[in-house]
Amino acid sequence: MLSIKNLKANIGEKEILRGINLEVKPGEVHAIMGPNGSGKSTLASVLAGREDFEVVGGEVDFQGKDLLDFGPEERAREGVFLAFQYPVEIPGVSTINFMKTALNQVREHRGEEALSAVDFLKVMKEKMELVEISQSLLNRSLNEGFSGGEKKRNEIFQMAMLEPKLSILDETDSGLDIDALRIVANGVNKLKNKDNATIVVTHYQRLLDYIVPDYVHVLYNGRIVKSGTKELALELEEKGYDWIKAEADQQFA
Amino acid sequence: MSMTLSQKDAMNQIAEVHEQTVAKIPAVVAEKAKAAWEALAAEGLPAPKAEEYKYTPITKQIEKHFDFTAEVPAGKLTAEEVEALRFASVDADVFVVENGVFNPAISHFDAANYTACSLAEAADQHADLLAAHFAKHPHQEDPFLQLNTAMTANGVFIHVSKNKVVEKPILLLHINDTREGQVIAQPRNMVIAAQSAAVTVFERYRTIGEQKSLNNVVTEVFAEANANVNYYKIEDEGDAAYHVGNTMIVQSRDSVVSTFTMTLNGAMVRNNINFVLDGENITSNMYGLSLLKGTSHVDNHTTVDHTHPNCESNELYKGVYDEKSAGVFNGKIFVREGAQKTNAFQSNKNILLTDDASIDTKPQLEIWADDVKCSHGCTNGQLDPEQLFYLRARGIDQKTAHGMLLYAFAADVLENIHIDALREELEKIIHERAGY
Ligand SMILES: Nc1ncnc2c1ncn2[C@@H]1O[C@H](COP(=O)(O)OP(=O)(O)O)[C@@H](O)[C@H]1O
Ligand SMILES: [Mg+2]
Repeated sequence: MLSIKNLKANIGEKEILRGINLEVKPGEVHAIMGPNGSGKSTLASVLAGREDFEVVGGEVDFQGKDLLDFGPEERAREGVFLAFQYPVEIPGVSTINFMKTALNQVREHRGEEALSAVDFLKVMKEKMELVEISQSLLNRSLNEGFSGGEKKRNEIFQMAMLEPKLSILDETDSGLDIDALRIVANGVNKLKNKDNATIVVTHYQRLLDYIVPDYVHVLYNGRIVKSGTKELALELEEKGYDWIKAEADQQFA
Repeated sequence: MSMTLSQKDAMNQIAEVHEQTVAKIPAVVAEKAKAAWEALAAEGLPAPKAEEYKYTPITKQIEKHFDFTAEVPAGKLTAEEVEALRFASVDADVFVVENGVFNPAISHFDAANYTACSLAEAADQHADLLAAHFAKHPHQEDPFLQLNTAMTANGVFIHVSKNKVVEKPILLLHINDTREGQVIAQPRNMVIAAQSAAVTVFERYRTIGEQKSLNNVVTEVFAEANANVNYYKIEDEGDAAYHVGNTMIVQSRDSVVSTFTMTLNGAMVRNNINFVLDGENITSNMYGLSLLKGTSHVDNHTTVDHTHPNCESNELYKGVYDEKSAGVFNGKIFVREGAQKTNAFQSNKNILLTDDASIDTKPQLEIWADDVKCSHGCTNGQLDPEQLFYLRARGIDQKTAHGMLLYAFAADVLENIHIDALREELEKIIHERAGY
């Protein structure tokens, strides 16, 4: 589904991604871990099409298409979804109106008819239950004045509405209390099926007790320096990142 | 102050028309007209470097394009044209000011609960009221205000007596009909809300025809004790329309006045709104929204003069400038020595959509009292790229995302409009302008 080959990206003169390789197949869950500043959010942003980063090398194939050719909206319509680490507040834009506009543009791209107001509300109700988000929250302006947990839940709600093929969750668990974490993880698990894939970027092994990954990768200094199964996450939790950093620093010195 | 040759030309023209005017108008008004002319003659119209007009060189435009002595065409507006130029969905009493003169023949109003007539009739039938209010605002120093007073033309006089609540909005629809030639219009309106009266007045400015027009309008608003006045001004004039407006507001104790100024088009527009808070426990709200494109220019100058304790003023002006349009904002807040416990807030926010668009913002706070809360802030910038990316990352195309953000930015000022049908019309205009 997703094939990243030797992806390199800069911001200004600064090299941030230095050659990322990653293969993701339908039905899989990949976890990307790594110390702060290693490039996890950058990778997520580059995949979603943020223009601040300049891709200076490599390829990204998504379902047979060159993802790097597309603007962010086309990627979203093709089925890429980024749950932001820090969802931005947009005063004056109603969450419901926004969601309806987004969903109908995505549906149009898929060759589906726009939903009527009634059908839209029906779908929305269904997905709201899935992520246990309240109507009163959705009646407000997009993310405005939402707590950290509410913002993250709103991200998963949007994911549920748009039914993406590939979801990238950027530290969706960070800063959540355990109840909110369960709700978010539960939502993600319910949306999982054999045709879609999930990349969870996280700092903490705890999330992986709730969303069980097939593969775990360690991103350090702009490269994936180690890959393994979920046991790797436990090992990292126990031993920290220093041993991996030392190995990597030696290898790329 | 020295005058250039062309300034003298304009001033000579004005002198001539002033002489003719004073001969025709009632004594109460004539006296003020003479005084205004003397003040104007001493200083002249604002020179290019005059502090108050340096970003809006309207004198130059007037000298270049207009002749005060030329006869103003009468205007041939039909009732159908009037309907097409107002918001027909807004149920209102409609007073048409055609080429600067109130024209009852194409107006329609029932004036339930209030008195309405032309200013000339008011001088005759309500001489005491007119004498007590005409040019009585303490700030008479603006040269265009003086010009209007010196050549005063016929506008609309509205009086709401004690305890009367006027439910239906009053529309003062100013239309310049330039089909027969260029128009200089200098209407003068007056709105008096007596003690505990309530009224909503909205002015709309339109142009018909392609030739140049100049509006130099003055509206005097008096909110007596405990009165409530909403005053809205919506400018959507032609590309060759020049406009200077002076809205002169005097508030007595316990009154609430809210203004909303929206500018959508015009060659060069200058709005002076001048509040004097002449009593305690007064609330003054000023809101503004400018949505400009092309080479339109708008300059909003506001003054709030706090002279008594325990009053509050709130000000929020927003602007969206596209193409080569330009904005100026100057917000003066005076808090006089005795005006303790004043709360005065001011905010000006602008979005520039192109590199050629521009904005000059200047807050000007002068505070002589020590126990006050005053704040001001301004932001000038582009649409937030983070917000744009967020919307696009959900599949929304760039143009729509742009429009959604512009709409959100602009529309929140409309919350302060209390006529639902009018607000809906303005929302439609913003949707159109935002392309969403
Ligand atoms: N907008 C930016 N401008 C400059 N440097 C940035 C920017 N965004 C990220 N970086 C830098 O890129 C590196 C990787 O950041 P990021 O991808 O956010 O890491 P992570 O998500 O793994 O914590 C860091 O050194 C960070 O300082
Ligand atoms: Mg990050």
